[in-house]
Amino acid sequence: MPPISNDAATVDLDPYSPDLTEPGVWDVYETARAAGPAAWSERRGGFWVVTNFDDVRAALRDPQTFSSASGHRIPTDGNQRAIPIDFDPPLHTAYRRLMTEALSPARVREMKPFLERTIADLVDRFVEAGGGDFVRDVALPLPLVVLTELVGFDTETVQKFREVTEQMWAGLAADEEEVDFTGARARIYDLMRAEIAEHRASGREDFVTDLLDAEVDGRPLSEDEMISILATFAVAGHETTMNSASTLVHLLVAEPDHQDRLRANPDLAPRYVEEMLRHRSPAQNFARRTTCPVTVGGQDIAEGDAVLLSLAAANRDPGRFPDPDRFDPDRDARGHLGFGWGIHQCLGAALARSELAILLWRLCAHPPLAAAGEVRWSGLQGGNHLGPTTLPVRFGPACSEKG
Amino acid sequence: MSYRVDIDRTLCNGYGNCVVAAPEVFDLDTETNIAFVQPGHRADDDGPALREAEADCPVGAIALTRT
Repeated sequence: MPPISNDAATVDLDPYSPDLTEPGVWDVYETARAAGPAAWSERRGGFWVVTNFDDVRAALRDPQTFSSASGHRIPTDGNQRAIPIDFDPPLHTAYRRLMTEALSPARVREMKPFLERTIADLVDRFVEAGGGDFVRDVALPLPLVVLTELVGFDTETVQKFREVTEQMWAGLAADEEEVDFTGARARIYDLMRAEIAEHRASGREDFVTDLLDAEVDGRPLSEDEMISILATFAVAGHETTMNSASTLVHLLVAEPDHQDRLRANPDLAPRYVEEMLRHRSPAQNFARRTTCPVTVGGQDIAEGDAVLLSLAAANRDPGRFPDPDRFDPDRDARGHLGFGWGIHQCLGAALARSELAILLWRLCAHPPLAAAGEVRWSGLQGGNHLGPTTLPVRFGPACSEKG
Repeated sequence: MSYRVDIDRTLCNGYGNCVVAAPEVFDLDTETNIAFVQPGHRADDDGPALREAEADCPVGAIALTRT
């Protein structure tokens, strides 16, 4: 639907464009912000881009007006149906409770020794090898191993997650204007279906097997629902952590002062994590669809319009975070929207915070990291995820200290 | 106006939104990562912040009762 009035602010933003990457993506958000609190983009069926902190958070707090039931990506066409993110209450609440079982504070606490062991193994091996591609060797394997422990995915199954996820991102971006959600996710769903069959046969004790007997709304879960829940763990459970870990390490090698400071005081690790989530927001944009006419920052938005809430842009709103483009671990980053806000707020937030802090601590126990080649970044995967695809690093003194 | 603040510890998932809304009132336990009301807090001073904390909890673990 086009904007109601002709004087609406506009911006040319295609969430699936490969051009939306470091460093230009931040300029695109600033262009949208400068255009107005809600700027209309004609791309992918048309949608409003919302960039100001208060407006984004207010929308995240109001699922009755800003519904998720038509999808969390542009276009909000009703074909997404990922559990729980593409649902509104009350079903969303029931789905989410089921998934929280795997990610409760007690569970995360139980997992801490496992996380410490896993991270020590990965990092120590990486150091012994003298470094390498941090994305391939540490940032990707880490969440995959965690998913075997957390959900009960088979070790061979998780090895396929990266490939099928990248196929999904490529599938979503394939067309100029249409987005084929069903086609793009087909291989992930096949993989989850096979995992469910394997668990039905083996009955080994884990979250997947628990799901086979789970109920929502007083009825058993359907197989399609199980597939969708597991696909969320498979994709959201690795893409985000991988990007967060790599983005942190990129920061350490790109800005040695920040690395020196952390190494001198590793207790700052949780602050580095929070400020990275604010400053680089690895999950950047989430869509909603309005259920009634609404006004955002003075702009009238009609019922049924798609709205893209840019968490990444909101986290760089100078009205909320002064000098927002600067990475500053001393600032009070609390309340950032890097995990979203409200009923859809990241289920894995506590796990991610724990994992990323442990990773930084472990890295601090080794010689300093330095860049060993050029970092490469993805475009916004699925219109949302941003992180390095290659990050060559080595251990030892920086080049400037030679001789 | 004063409130009694109840936190359902079985629901709390350690998001910390309540600490953002009312840092004088709430904190997260460093061991369990579960929210608690800070000892000595006087709930009658923080009405708007408390209501924001209640509304902002992603899992509805905070309940305010007017006393």
